[in-house]
Amino acid sequence: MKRSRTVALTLIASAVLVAGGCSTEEATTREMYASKDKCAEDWGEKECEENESRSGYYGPHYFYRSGTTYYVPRGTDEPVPVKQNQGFSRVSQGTRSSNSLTSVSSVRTVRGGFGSSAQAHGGGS
Amino acid sequence: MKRTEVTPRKNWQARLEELGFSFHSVGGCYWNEGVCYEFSGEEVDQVEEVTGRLHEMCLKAVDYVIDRDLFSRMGIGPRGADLVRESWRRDDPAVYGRFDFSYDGRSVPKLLEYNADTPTALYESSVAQWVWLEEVFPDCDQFNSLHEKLAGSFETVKRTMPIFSTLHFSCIRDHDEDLVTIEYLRDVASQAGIRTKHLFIEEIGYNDGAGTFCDLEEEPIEYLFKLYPWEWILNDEFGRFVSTAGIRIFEPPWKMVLSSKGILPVLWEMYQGHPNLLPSFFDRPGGMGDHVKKPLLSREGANVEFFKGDLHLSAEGTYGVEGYVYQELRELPRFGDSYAVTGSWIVGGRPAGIGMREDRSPVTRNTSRFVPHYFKP
Repeated sequence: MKRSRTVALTLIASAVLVAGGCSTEEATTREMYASKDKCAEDWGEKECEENESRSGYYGPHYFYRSGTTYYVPRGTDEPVPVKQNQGFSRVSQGTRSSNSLTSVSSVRTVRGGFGSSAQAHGGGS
Repeated sequence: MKRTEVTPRKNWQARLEELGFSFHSVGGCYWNEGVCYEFSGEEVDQVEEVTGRLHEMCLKAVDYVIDRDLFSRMGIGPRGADLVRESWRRDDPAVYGRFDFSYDGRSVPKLLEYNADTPTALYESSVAQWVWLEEVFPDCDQFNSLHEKLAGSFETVKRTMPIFSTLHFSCIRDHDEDLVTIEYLRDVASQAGIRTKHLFIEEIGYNDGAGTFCDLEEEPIEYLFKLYPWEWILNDEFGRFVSTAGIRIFEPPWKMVLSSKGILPVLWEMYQGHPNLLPSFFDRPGGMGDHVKKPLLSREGANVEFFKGDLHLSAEGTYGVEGYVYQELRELPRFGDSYAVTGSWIVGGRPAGIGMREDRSPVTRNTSRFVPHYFKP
């Protein structure tokens, strides 16, 4: 049998309407705390996340930009400035909160690491 | 096999656009239904049989390359070689590929190359020319079972995936042909019962903490179907994470062996004198007269050079740094003012149909016209 009997399509007609997304690239740091209380003093309780494997609590991802400390509230992807009523607002760049055990540098999600070869060759597949 | 002139459908552009085939006129005229190719049933059977046979030979060639550690000859580095070995040992399923033949209906098909990793012209082969057949030659047949075989192939892929997992589909931005192709494949996969998501290759994220790739919603990418060549994947900045990020990629890494033009001399070494192969060698023409010089890794005819007597033709491009192969010249058959190449699809390990491309130049390029076909049962 050579021929196709049925060609039913649901997605393809709208292929050209696929929207692009944004690109994020931000090196961040998280503080590691021995207890939830210590973490909550810096960030507020809802921003503290237990890390069972390390027997401690992580604060949210944060970074410094233009003299302002930004953090990424849990459940969101949008950085916001640290508020005055958050204990961590007293911590300046180059110092560390006395509440935390250690700082853990991380990169949240880096994008754009694929695609450069296509640009170099000037085309698609 | 003959090329005949036919009257285009009055609303052919609108019909194609209704199908989502948005790039029908790229380069001025990509889809050309002012002509078509007519095959006999025997010719179709011949192409089908040769396609199946070459596929089996290619699978043996992967073993041959792995056993003899010929990766560097194929233009595959150590990281790629490890991925090839691992995916071959794991028996990762492949979805599709396209053999390009020089075939005129009189002599046997000769393999020019195997587009095993990122073959395009899929949607037009599977859907656009099928709809054309139904509207123009409803009493005839077409060598085209691509759609149902792709569905079967994705059902095989689905069986390798845990329940509730997602298969992400990705291609580069701003490339209509790739987007339509990848969205078509995603459509078929969805119909096969796979949960799918699309994102552009540039949007793929790497989460340093988790050590995984992720999509725009931070969902880990564990299964990825990419329309982006393997050598590009590995050369890009994120390539170094592929082996550790817990990701399974389709086409599988072992297809790197078959998508390298190095497969041509390997096949010749294994099956010297085979009627469907052309003499091919690494590094030098090997005493051949008229021949073609092809980069190990290249796309759409870029950097291909023809040597015919005193005539030297070369196609522009940015490829060739990994080396070249030399293949005896077998010119494409000429019909009127056009050279025609027969693209024969293999899907899920079985022959699945053909797509004809034409060009005024003997080198088939990404702008070569797609021409529909039919055969009389």
